[in-house]
Amino acid sequence: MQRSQEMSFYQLVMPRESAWAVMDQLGYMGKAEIVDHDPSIPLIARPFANYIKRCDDLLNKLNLLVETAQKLSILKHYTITTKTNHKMCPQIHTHQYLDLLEEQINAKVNSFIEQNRNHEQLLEQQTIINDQLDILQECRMYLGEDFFVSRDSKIDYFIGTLKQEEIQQFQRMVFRVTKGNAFVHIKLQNQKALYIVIFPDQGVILKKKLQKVQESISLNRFTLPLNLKEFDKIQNDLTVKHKEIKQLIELTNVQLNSSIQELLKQNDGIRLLDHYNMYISKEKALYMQLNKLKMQGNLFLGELWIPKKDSAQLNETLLLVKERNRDIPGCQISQKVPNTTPPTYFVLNEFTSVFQQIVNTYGIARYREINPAIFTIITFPFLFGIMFGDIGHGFCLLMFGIYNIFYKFEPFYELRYLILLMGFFSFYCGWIYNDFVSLSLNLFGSCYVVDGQMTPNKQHDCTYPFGLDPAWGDNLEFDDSFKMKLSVIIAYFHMFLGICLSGCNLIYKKDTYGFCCKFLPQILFLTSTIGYMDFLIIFKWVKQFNPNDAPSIINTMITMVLSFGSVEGPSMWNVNSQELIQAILIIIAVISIPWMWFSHIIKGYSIYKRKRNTIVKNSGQSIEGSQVIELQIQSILDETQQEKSLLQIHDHNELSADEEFTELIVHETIETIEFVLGVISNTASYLRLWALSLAHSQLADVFYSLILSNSITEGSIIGALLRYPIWALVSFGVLMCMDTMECFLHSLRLHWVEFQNKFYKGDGIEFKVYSL
Amino acid sequence: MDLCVFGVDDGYAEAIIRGLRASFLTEAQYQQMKNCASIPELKSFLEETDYQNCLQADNPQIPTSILRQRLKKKLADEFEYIEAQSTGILTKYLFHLRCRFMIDNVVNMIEGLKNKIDIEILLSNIDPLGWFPEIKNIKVLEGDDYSSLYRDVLIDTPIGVYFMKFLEESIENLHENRTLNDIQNLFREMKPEYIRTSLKKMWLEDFYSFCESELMPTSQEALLELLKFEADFKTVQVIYNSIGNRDLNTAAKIITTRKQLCPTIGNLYPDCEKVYLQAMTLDALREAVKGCDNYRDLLKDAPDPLKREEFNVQTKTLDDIMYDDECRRYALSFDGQGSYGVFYAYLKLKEQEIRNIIWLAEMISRKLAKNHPGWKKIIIPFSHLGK
Repeated sequence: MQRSQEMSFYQLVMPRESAWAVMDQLGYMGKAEIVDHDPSIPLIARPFANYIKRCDDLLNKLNLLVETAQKLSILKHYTITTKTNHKMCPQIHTHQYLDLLEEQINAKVNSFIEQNRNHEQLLEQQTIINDQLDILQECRMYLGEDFFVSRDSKIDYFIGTLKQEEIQQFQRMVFRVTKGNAFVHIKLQNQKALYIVIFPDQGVILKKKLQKVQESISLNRFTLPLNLKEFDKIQNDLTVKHKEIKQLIELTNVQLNSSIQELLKQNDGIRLLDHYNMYISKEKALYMQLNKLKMQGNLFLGELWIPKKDSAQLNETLLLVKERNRDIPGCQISQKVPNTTPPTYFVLNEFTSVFQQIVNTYGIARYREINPAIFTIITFPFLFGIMFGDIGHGFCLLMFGIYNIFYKFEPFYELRYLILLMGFFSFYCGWIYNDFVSLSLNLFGSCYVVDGQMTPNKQHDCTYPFGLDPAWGDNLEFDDSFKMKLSVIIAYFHMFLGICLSGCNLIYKKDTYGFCCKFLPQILFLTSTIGYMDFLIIFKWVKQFNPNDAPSIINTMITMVLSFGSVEGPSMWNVNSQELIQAILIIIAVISIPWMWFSHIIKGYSIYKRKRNTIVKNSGQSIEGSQVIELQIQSILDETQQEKSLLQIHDHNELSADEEFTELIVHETIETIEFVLGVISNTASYLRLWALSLAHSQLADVFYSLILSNSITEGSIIGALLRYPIWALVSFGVLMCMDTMECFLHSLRLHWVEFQNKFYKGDGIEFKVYSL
Repeated sequence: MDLCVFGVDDGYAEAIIRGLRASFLTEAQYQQMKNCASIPELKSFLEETDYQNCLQADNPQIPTSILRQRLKKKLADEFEYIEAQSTGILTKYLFHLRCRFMIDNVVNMIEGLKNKIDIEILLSNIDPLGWFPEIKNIKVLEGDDYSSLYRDVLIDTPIGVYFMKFLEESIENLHENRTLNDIQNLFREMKPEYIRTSLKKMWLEDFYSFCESELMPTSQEALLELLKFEADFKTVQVIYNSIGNRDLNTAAKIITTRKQLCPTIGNLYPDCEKVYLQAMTLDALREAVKGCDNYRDLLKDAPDPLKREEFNVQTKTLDDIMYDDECRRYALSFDGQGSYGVFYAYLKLKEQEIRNIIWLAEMISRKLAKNHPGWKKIIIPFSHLGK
């Protein structure tokens, strides 16, 4: 995990017939990445586009089936699983199976859709009959029994049903068409409206017009029976029909149900529907990969990356293919020199993956460069802990992490180990700070007595066993200076580690020049400035000073830089030796700047000069001969390319020598300025450790003193009980949720910016394994 | 000033539109479309683009009419969504935009009913952008009785106002002692195309005055510019199409018709009105518009309307030329910030895109040779910006 896996590059040549079988096996092996030979080709222009289309169609059909079934509430609580799983995935190694499945699925889906259509038609008929029954009932109620006995021939009627939202429109249209000579009766029923239009029988035109209105708006239209006898007859007929249809509907329901049950039948522990879905999804994934291959006549050319340690498996797999399919021609495989950068691949487990994720979010590691994730595992939660340090809150976080490991709590399950470590370190730092939700714990007996003026006096010669002495608990000034110094010390060591890692990278690349001219000056510069300050801090902690003439670290540092190492005021130890040491440190720091600045420029200049000479020489010759010289130029170009190692491949771009050299100057200058300024500003940036830790403890203190402490000191239990939930809620919301988030983000920043900019390139390509 | 507060109400709707900018097909995609050999291939290509979802349920051998319907439905859905997200004046404005399609739908329905086409077919062919619930009631129309169409059906609809104005104007233009018969005759002879042009003219004028009075200055500036061009485009079209038109035999009739149909807004009105109304040849028309913008350059390549019979697919018609210029203007306006012009431009450009796709689909389904000049007759939105 320290460096990404070494990758081998292979070329596969296989005839069209065996392409499917080979890729199928490779997918089951799940170790290699197939390289897309030209990502710019759109999907439809690729050789297997129609297969993917077919798979998509089938998946859509199955989806449609499930949706309709769910709408009919035959199928409940079913979700389509398209995730292919090694164990559950059907082990069927012929691609003809897709044709078979396609036929089966089409037949099943089509018959199901057909049945469903019947079902819907029947339902529709049923509603029409229902509507008619309703409206007849309504007519009888509204118009009265007498109406059917003695009917007025001068008045005509239209009856039918409407959508409720169209009532107004209908009424208005009728009014306009008849010029107000019609009466509309509306009754609302079952999300529909029944209507009866009564109008004078004034001839054909009006009737025809009304009929058109009726046609365009109403859902169903019916005729009103002329007399009671007819009325009863129609009603009876309808009731009989209604019963019949009801039976038919039940019948189709049973049919639908049985066809769904058939699909849910289990076979080897897998439901048929799942089997379909998984096989087709797998097939689709396979064809996606096949599409990445290059087709040349009847041959497929594929290129793949595989981790070096797994490359033996590749041959085994191919042998297996040959054994399984004796009748088809086999394929050839050959190792090749890659023409692109190898992908970055880390073997991860459930513990390391979350930390790798933190690093990957910033950028995928360059191939074979050192992986910061391995350090992040401890440093990330530790820096978090420094900011979040509190025994109580840390303990809660720790418990949450442990809970999450044993019982899945979905949204944070992926982060469980990160939370566990974050909890542990904040718990630990809480003990160091001796801070329990803003109170100091006095477990071992304080070594100080606090008198009336709150100045701690040393009682006897004793040391508090672990963490800060509780007597310091309320002393903000002490806390501040302690945490600030701690932050600076951590800043130095964290950045030191970063620079060392860049040194490791240089050693790995066997770049001795780079190691001497980049790593060494950088580490010297850092140590001679910030490192010396840290030394002073620790020295001052260890040595006892008289409070009145203790030297100030800030002043020491400032005068050291401004007046070349001289010491003003009290010295740390012997004035002369301190001045000497400081002068040497200043000289080292000053020298290391041009050292790291110009060393690469000088090297670049010599290369540039050589290159220009050869080009000039060649162009002079090219007037005489033509082709020979071109060949020479070619060979020179090849040489310069060979100089660059495999790892530097993407540094190479097509620039002329002049441009390349100017680019180098600009690059080196910027890098140097960035580093030198960075040492100061990054150290300052680490002060966020102090600031956030202070904010955390102060917030906790404020909540405690404002909400809880009053009632506790007064001793009123009821008051305390009433206030406790408020305090707990506020603490949870602000400290446990918001502050956790904030400390997390700041810790993230310290890693991404201050730590990783010292060594991490992060411009690699992720290895995407092809696995079915 | 209005730029500061534009985002308060309209920022979200504008953001959606800006996001939809990504859905436009690119030049490379058009190239690929041209390479499609059959309609199923074209369909599967479109399924790779933003039109994916609206085509999925269809048969691969999709007829062009249904394809158009699907594409338009998608545009209408997007537009409806934006309309639902808008408030205040923007809602009114977007509604105004839809009126144009409503007019088209109503006139299409009238035309179809006149030609005795079944109402169900007509209803299935209406443009979803101009759908309104009352449209199916047009069935009630009897013969050519447009006034009863207005009274019974269109009175409630958003475009009722235009229709009423149209009826009033048509009747006013009759001679003094008119009879009911005269009116009926007038309507019987009236061509649907004429109704469409006059309704659209009224809509355009109305929309123009709406933009002028209601919108904020930035939007106004962008939109009035576009609408002026559109009005000029209409004027030029009317004049151009009336040159050598056999239905209008006398010069006096030509001029009155022109006067009725030409919008009373735009760069050409009123300064050039007298000249263009009199223009009886293409050269005279060119002369009439020479003072304005780049119109003269646009008309330079237009074919002579007197030789209408000789036109074929290869001819770059006036419409093609104008659409091309329009497209450039809309693309520019789309990139303008803080104005309502972007909604208008989006609609227009999407319409153009649909026209392109349909055109290509027609070309493909007729299996025309790849060197046929018709393949070049598409105007790609935003392609002008690069140049």
